[in-house]
Amino acid sequence: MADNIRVNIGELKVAKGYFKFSAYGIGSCVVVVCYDKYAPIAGMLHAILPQKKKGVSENRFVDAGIENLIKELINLDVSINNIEAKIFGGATMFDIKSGSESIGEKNIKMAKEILSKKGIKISGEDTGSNYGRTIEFDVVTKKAIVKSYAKGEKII
Amino acid sequence: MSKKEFSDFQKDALIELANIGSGNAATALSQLIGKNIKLSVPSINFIPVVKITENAKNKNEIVAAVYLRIYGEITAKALIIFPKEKIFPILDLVMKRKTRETKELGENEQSALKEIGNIIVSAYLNAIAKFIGLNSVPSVPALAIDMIEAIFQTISSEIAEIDEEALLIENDMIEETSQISTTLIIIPDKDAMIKIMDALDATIKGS
Repeated sequence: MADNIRVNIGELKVAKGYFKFSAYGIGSCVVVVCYDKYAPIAGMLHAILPQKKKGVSENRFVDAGIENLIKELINLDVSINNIEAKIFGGATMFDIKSGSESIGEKNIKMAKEILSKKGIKISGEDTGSNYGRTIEFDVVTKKAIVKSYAKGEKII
Repeated sequence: MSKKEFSDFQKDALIELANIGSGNAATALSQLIGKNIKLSVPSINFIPVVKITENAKNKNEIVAAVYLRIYGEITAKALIIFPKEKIFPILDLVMKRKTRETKELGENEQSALKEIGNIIVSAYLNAIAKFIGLNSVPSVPALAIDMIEAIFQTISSEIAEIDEEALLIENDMIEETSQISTTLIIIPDKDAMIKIMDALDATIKGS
């Protein structure tokens, strides 16, 4: 059994070996997993808003959080060329017309923009729509189980 | 406005205000379902945005949540939460059906839930307007049936865009036989808090 590492809002965790990351009840937040294609090393970011603000912990934000996630993996001797990513969440839970994109949509857009800028391939995603998700990512198999009330269970 | 600037006196005044609002909301709900509704003492807490989801006791609990934004002299967010097992009983009553007649959440049932939320929040706002003279109106209601943690998390993102902590004013409303229970959460914006406290001061001094 792999040990479970819980990743709460605004947190970034990395691990090497038999671990599982989990993030519960993801609504508009976005969860970004980056991992080494060839080795059991991975990290999970649970960000709340797209763009970093001064004076607030960086890992709450998609842009600065992904930069930190990549840095931490490189510190664990992962080559940037071997990093792939999976992204989850970014739902629009409440359909209140506001004329602009929802926070969920902005979060996903930012995650994709930063990952593409870094040349990191997104190998899987379960994002958008209007429902909450719980995510468990296995560091060894690099598979995520995504659970939701609306759509049941998916493997990504 | 933050925890430090918030005196015991102001907290008491705010609890009183919440009592007045929720009293009227409970009356509206009583009339809607034809049953008596009991109220808890409102709880008032400043919570850092990243901790709001911890408010959900059972993380994976499925609830129906009606969400409304409040506009006008008070800007706020309102959330009305029904535990999953209480959704059908309340719909039976509101839709004048027999007990256990409601078996699915179709379009009519969903709009009935939104309407209940609308009525509760409008009654709350009307009572506050009468008491402190600040007028506000709710937006069109939105409904989500999902994990409570995902619902709180989404609200906390919206708050995090403008603030680091939020004031949660919570009221539990329970029907006598416990067939029905709902929680109303009002989250005033920072500017609205200042207006509310000023209006409360003026009302208390004027009386």
